Parts: sequence; structure tokens; C-alpha cells
Amino acid sequence: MLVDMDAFFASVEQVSNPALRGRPIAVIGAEKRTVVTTCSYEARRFGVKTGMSIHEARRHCPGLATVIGNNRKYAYTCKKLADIYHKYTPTVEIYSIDESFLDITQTNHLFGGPIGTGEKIKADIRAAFGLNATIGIAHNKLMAKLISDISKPDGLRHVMPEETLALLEALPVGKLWGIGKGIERKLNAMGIFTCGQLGRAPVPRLKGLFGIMGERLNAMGRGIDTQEVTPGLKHGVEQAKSIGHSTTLPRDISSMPEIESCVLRLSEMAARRARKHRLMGSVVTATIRYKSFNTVSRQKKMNAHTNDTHVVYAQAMEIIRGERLREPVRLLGVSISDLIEDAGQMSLFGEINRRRALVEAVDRVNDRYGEDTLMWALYARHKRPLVAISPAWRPDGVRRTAV
Amino acid sequence: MEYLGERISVVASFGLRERLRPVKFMWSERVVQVKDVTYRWTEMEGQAKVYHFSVTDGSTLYELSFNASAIGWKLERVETDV
Repeated sequence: MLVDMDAFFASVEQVSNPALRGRPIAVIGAEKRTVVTTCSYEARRFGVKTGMSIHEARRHCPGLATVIGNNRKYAYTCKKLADIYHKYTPTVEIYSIDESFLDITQTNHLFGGPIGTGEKIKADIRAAFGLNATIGIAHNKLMAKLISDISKPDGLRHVMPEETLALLEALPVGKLWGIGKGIERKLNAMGIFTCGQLGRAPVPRLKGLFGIMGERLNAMGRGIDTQEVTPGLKHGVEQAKSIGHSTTLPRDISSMPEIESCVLRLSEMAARRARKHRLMGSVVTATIRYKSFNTVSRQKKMNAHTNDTHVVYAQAMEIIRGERLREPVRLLGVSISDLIEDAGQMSLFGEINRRRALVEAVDRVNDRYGEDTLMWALYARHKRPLVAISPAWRPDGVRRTAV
Repeated sequence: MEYLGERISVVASFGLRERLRPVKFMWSERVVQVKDVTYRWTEMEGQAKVYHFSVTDGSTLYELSFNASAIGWKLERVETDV
């Protein structure tokens, strides 16, 4: 079963503010300068889409109301939704902030079968938050996702295995989860337009173009998927590949002190999250997006793994100073990767141990009294950047960013 | 919504089903009667749990917060262009 919240952030805002109900609204990251994070169904009818600039969205829909997103409200709601799902099955995979897979194979008979379970979950969500969800139920994740996608909004549908081929026969390949525009174009060029055609396409032909993925594409065309619903986080097995943050600045900046201040803030956010989850990285990546939207991302490999804010900051600044800043900067990002577990290894050098003790002390104070109770002087004059909540946000584990 | 972050006096009810609900509050020397709690969420500020409420008096949208550690209410935001 896939539970997909309908226009999640926009719906939360419409429930919160009665004046927005029934109106075209767009949720944005920060006033004026970011893009549409999501929009209500009323706005979608005018052609407003996620990722559009606000200017472009207003061109499509002059009456569009914009709301600055409240990440903490969405994060809280996501966590509470997971509590609802756990009433119906212990096997819940929070796939993204607004989509969750539930394996109800062993439990659906307790709640009136698959449709009965779906109805109860929808009713619980509506009672708790006043929100609508679309639920797709099938024998695997691929089909559950597909059924949810084609049943939006506020849908509930169960497709039996024997109905799969008939459903897929005339469906465009692009509707399948995992087939993006690029793959769709290549398939279309091969004369494959529908899932039915994809399922009948010779595997060697698909392999010739897509490599080992060809076999999987063929299976997808027949509605076959072997991925299991993996709760992951509950068992602590999730491992992030990188930890980072980026922010669109309130205005374009060119001065190095301002850039330094923002990079230190982002380095602290990334390094603090790494420390919280006892991880260290040896590769620092700095990202710069210019006013023209041209984006440069560079990496630097260090000799040792670290989660020390100032080491990460120093590496990020070295990358940025090495770039000739061609125009004012719109967005900055810092991330650390090549992660390993921080075993708390003492250093032979006293200075490193002293700095580690200082950072740990600062973390303890901020854990107790809240973020920014103690902060590095360099960024004290700047407000905490508005960081967009990622679709990959999770209620637990490394991907639970501070929002 | 415009950010205020003002400490305010609130009359609230503590019930069985709805554990905490703001009933009315004092702002700018007038009493605002809460007609509807439209959304609620919690967040942690350090070790303090903070309860947030979107509330309306029928015409204006307000965001109130209650810090359970400091035992204090704030008017966080007010919607100025509903």
C-alpha cells in the first residue's frame, strides 16, 4: 500500500488558514526569491507546477496566493502520520515526507481487508489533520505507486495481480515509477510507448540500450517488482551517503565576509548533524549558484575524516576562494561525504582534542537550550538561513534535518 | 504572516480529549476570542517542548505557542493579508 498525501504542504496551509481554502496557493521557500515548493490543486488547474519561479507561476495564475512554508509543521505532521500508519502494520517505510509504503499483507484482515484498511487510514488522517491522502493498494510497490498516482486526488483503489496486465496495456511508459523523461524518450525512439509494449519488448534489445537495467525495465512493463517495504530507520540501518545543507540567500551577495559567514553557518549545520549521528566525512563539497542560475559544485578530499565545523568550513572556503566568483551569488551549499562511523578516536595532538571538547560542549548546550544558544561569532549577526525541507526528509535517522 | 514573537496572556483549557486549547488571549489591549483552532503541531527548542496553534477569531489568523518548560505563551505571528 502507498499512502500519498495530496499536495501535502499546500493542503496543510489551507487547513491552517481557512481564508486559503478553495483558492489557488503556492508554498514557497522564502519570500520572493525561491521557487514553488508545491501548490494546491486549484493552482495546478492553472498550470502552476513545482519548481516554477514565483514570477512564472503568477503569469499562469494571476490570483495565486503564496505562503512561506513552515518546515517544522510539515515535519511534525509527517511524524504523526507515521504513528497512524503504525496502528495498521509494523512494516512502514517512510519513502519521502509525503509518501509512505505500508506492507499490510499480514494485518489487513484485522481492519476489513485492503480497502477497509485504506478507508480507516484515510479517515484517521482526515480526523487528525483534515488532510486528504490517496492510497494505492497492490501486490508490489511499483504497482501501488502507479495506482496511487493515477487515483489522485483523494483516491483509494486496490488492483489485484490478475488485473495488472490489462491496466498496464495502454498506459504510457512515463507513468511508471522510475521511468523519467530521458528513459521515456529513448524507449519512444525504440517504438515503445506503452507499458504493454515495454513488457513484450525483447530483453536483449532493451539490454543493448540500457545495460543491466533493460531486464528490470521489461519486468516493470509487466508490473513485476521485487522491492520489499523496508522500514529501515526503525532498525537503524539507514546510512546516508552525504550530509549537507544549502540555502538560497535573501539577496544576491558578492562580499567575501558575507559568503564566509554563510558558509560557516552551513558547515556548522552539516557538521553538527554528522556529530549527532556519530559520523565523519573525508570529502567536502561546496556549491555556488550564481545570480544567472549557473551552478558550480566542487569537491575536496581530506587526509582524514572529520566532523569538526571549522575543518569543514576551512575546506569549503578553500574551494570557494579557488573559484573566481564571476557574478553575485544566489545560493550556497556545503556537504560532507565518504562517511564513516565516528568511533571517538582520541588524537595524538592536544590541540585537536581541545577543539573536539569545545565543539562537544557547544553541542551539549545547544541540545539543552535550543539551536544557536551558543554560536560562532562570525555568523552571529546573520539569521539562521531558511533551509528548504527536502522530500528526502525522514522523521528519524540521519535524514532528519533540523527544519 | 508577520512575525511578532510577543509574550501574551492566554486563557486556555486543559481537557481529556483535547489536552490543551487556547480559549482567548490579550493582545494590543483587547481580548481576542479564539473561534477555531485550525492546526496544531509541536517542536523542540532544546529540551523544551513547544506547542504551536494556528487559531482564528473568525477574521484573522494567529499563531500562538506555549513553551511547556518556561510555562509561557507567545503570539508568534499574525496574518495581515487574509
